[in-house]
Amino acid sequence: MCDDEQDLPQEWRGTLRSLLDQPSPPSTTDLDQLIRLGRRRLVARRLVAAVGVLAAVAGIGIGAAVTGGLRTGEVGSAVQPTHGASLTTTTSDASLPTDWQKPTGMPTEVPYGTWSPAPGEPLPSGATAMVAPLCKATDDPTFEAAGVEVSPQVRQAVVEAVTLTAPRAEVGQAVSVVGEAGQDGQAAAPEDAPTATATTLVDVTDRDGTGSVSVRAGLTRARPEEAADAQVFVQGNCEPPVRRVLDNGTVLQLYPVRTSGPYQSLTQALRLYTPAGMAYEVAVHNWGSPDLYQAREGVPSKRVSPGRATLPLTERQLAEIGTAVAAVA
Amino acid sequence: MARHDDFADFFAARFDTARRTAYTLCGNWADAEEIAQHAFVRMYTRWAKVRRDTADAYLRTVLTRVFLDGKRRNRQREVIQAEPPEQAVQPETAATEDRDALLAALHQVPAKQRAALVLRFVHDLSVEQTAEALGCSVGTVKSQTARGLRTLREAYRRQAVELSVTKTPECA
Repeated sequence: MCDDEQDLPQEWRGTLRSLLDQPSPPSTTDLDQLIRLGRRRLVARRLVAAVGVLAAVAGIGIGAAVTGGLRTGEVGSAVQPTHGASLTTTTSDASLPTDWQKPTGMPTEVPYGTWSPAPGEPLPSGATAMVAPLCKATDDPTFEAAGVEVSPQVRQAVVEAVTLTAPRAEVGQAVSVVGEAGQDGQAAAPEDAPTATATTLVDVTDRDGTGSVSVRAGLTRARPEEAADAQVFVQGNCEPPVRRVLDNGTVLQLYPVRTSGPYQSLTQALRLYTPAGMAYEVAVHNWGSPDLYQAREGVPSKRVSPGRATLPLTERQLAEIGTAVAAVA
Repeated sequence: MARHDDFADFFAARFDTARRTAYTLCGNWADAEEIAQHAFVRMYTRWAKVRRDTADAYLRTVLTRVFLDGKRRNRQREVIQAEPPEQAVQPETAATEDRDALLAALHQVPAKQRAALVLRFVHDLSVEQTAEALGCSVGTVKSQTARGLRTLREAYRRQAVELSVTKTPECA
């Protein structure tokens, strides 16, 4: 066995030790925020432990009956199945608050065909092949501008909001993914694509596997409601999205679940438009970073596996995350 | 309340160093902030059981594992990065050039070997302390360190060549 101390060049010793003294940007973390996150984690752990004990005492039979009752109630209260409540496996209340409304005067689009998984492509474990209507997607230049990055505050708000809204799930760190894999579950752009954008991705893992929440930033010159109107059918959705307008004029627009290739990718997106001209898209996916592959540094990531059968969060949870982003956007 | 105050003192004294260590490991300030945050959140949830005299060692262990867990989870895709815009500007000196080149070379070393190098030579830990932080044997630390140093040396050589190529037109 070699002696690693002797292998270290003498001139590197001081340099390596000085790495901790280099200039750094100011920290964005404060103690209160950290303790808040810590308490949530503690509460979540205690809840899980308490539920485990209760389940053991009550017995499997009673537990199953109670769970079945709750689930039946939830599905019955979902306001709009087309907005995805039945495509998730979360046990929280999936319905949206009443201040989310369809914009008035928006017709339903007529499908030009249907989508179904490509023959031979594997489906997520436990999923059955779906057939979904296809409608024409309108042009979308909002997120094409180079150099519009998701700020650390927004990244942090997303991680915090996911942790808060899904306390039983394991929430990953916010990381950046280059390329189209961060959007729509689509295959990657060509490797030399000049407009490959960075999308922030947060893995969300529960008993059904790993999904994710992504967020990307863009610019819009239109006022929030005009921008939202122009992008009502931007996702290729046939049903119009639902919308909520905040007191400061920020518009949040929540789209129906979209089914697309590769594999059987599910995505539910929420876009928000601020009066300052910023736009964000927060989306929930049925795949996460384990389903991505990057051949080498600087080229877009590609999807390499189908992910899970369902979305990891409900539209209500997505709405809560979008509202948290709006608070710091 | 004493528990809270204790943790507050620990946070005030150690967060910046934790963030800098995380930056040395991952090479990106935004990710470094997240890694340090995750580590402190985990510390907070176990604070009642953490002995004060071993809190630093425990923090190093948690921080390194948060970094390695993140790498494992994301090994199949890129973790960006363009330089963060808020990066502090530093004067160009031979020392900072050396440091930057060495740091860039360090980030080309595989994650676990990099963690071993950082703990051994940036934090100046013994092989035994490094093994404890990484949760592996002393032999594994030695072999990871040796391999890491080899990779670091090769990467540094490449950096030096690139630097000299970049500088040639200015010297001509």
